[in-house]
Amino acid sequence: MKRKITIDPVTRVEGHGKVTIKLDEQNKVIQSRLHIVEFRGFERFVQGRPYWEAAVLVQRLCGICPVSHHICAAKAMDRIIGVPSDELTPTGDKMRRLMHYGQFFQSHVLHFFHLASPDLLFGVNSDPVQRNIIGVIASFPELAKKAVLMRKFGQEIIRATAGKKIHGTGAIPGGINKHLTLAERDEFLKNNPEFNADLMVDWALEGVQLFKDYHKKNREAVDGFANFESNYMSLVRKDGALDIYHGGLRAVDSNGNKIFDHVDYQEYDQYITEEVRDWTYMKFPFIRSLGKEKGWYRVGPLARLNTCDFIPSPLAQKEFEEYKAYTHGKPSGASMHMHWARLIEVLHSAEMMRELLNDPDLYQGELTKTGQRTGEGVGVIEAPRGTLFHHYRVDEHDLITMCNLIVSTTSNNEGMNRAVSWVADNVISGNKEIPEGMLNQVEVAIRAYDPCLSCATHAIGKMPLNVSLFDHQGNLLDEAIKNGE
Amino acid sequence: MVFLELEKLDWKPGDKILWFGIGNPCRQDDGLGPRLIGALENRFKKFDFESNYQLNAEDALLISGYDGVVFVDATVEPEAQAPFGIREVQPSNEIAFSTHEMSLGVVVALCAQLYQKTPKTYLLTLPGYSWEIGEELSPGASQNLQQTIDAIADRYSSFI
Repeated sequence: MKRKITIDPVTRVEGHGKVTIKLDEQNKVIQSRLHIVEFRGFERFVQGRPYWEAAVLVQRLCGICPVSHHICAAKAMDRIIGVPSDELTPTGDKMRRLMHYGQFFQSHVLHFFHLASPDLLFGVNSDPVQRNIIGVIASFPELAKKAVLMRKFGQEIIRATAGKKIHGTGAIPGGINKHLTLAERDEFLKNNPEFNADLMVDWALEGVQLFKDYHKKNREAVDGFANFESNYMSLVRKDGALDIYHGGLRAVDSNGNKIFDHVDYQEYDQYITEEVRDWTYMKFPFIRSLGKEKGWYRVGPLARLNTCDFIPSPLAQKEFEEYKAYTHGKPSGASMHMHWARLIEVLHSAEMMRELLNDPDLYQGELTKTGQRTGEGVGVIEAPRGTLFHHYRVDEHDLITMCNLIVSTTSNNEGMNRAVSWVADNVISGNKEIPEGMLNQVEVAIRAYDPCLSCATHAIGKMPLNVSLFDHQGNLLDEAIKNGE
Repeated sequence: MVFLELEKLDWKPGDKILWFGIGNPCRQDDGLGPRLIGALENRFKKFDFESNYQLNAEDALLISGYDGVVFVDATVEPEAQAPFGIREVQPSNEIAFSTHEMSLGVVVALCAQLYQKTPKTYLLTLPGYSWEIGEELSPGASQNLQQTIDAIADRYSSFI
């Protein structure tokens, strides 16, 4: 008798996320699928609106990563007004970069503190009573307080650069709408000995060390968990450096060989396309030249470290070199290495925020540029979860007529499915009982990618996760429910 | 009946109170929380107000500065009280699989553990019925919202 194990959040329609695992009569996994509620509907929502509203409108769909969409849309609109994003004024460019580093910093810290740290500090099979944020606080109270302040620092950087913490309006077509004031700078750099950019760098370094200490004691488990080969893609700077704000598209295979490099992202659709599958609303992007089967790729922290040549900030570069030495210079396919990569990026973001805060271009200089109006523009940025694409067409009345978005979670769709399949094959297969620790490993696999549930609603009554066991005829055999608020 | 619900908010004179709306205003009735906050913050000078799409860890720091907190959110629960219901929030240690979800109970627990503060924390829910992309509330949600605004304005007129 085949059994189907479903890890299924129950919501009004499609849920926050759902995992379906099918077993055969011998309890071997024959299929596993991950369904994540995806980013859809916005493309229609924005059509017919004036193009200059896009950068503000896009933020409204997501409360976790609004700034990434804000900046990405602004970059697309730069092209619409005839100014390539790498030709903005120094003030426009650097204010956007500071905003983006603030967003990156707080997003990555949130992920590590909220999701990863309980698993890493206590182990994925530890008692769930302890394996949570409260357990982390009880055992590591100072770490928890630092994480909250790091989040706050990133949020304040966003407020200072975008004008508001939520629904900021800072990035506009062709540049930025404000300078940073010297008073704001001093708040971040020196006014408060318990809350400043130097401390953020120090604490970010502690975060990397925390992971390395854990890794040292748990090498096999960390390196082996959901480790599989794939292609990787991200933006890189002209000199090959990690650049989360602007660059050309680079894709590498599992051996580090370049598939394409320094591609102008205005032409992204010549290199990447999306496949539709009948069991999910989510699409599956792939690299055209490799085809559907072999062309899927991963994006995000691990992909960025797998594709870039170096990191342009000294402390993060040192950590990068150590990481690359450990992986023998080759791309790493270990899903748990995403946490390592994420923490190196936290350090990089902290260093870059400190550097930019000391840059006089933030406090003076022209804010915007204009050019010759065009009818189409693409913006691409490295969001915390990975490469983000915004593509718009605008008519002669300045109204948006087409919008296509590829969000990071969509690009990671196949990767997440593979991670879940790895857990199913290696941990669940052959077992007659499904203890909590096993199912948590599926969550651990998904958590490493931190899928963006940007179109999810947040109403009370949504249960985040539901485990259901079905027989081959679809009869419910057993279920476990994790209740939400 | 609505007044009885509001009596559940157990505050003393002089208490510092925060109202916090949760939800996405671009997902129709999911925006009920922020909409209520938007309607109240122009009327009440003696309360503080905040809104966000979802809760985050640093909200534990925010609520630690208050004696009482009312979180406001839409609900899909089939038996939900209309136009609104109120219940006290208990600490919790639930962990989600995504950073897009942090429960009220965890925020309350974080506040107690990190800052040794235990503000009286409540959840006020308004039933929602439609959740598609869009800014307009459904007729039922709109009615619930208006009745809630009127009830609060009536009950807390001294806080204006």
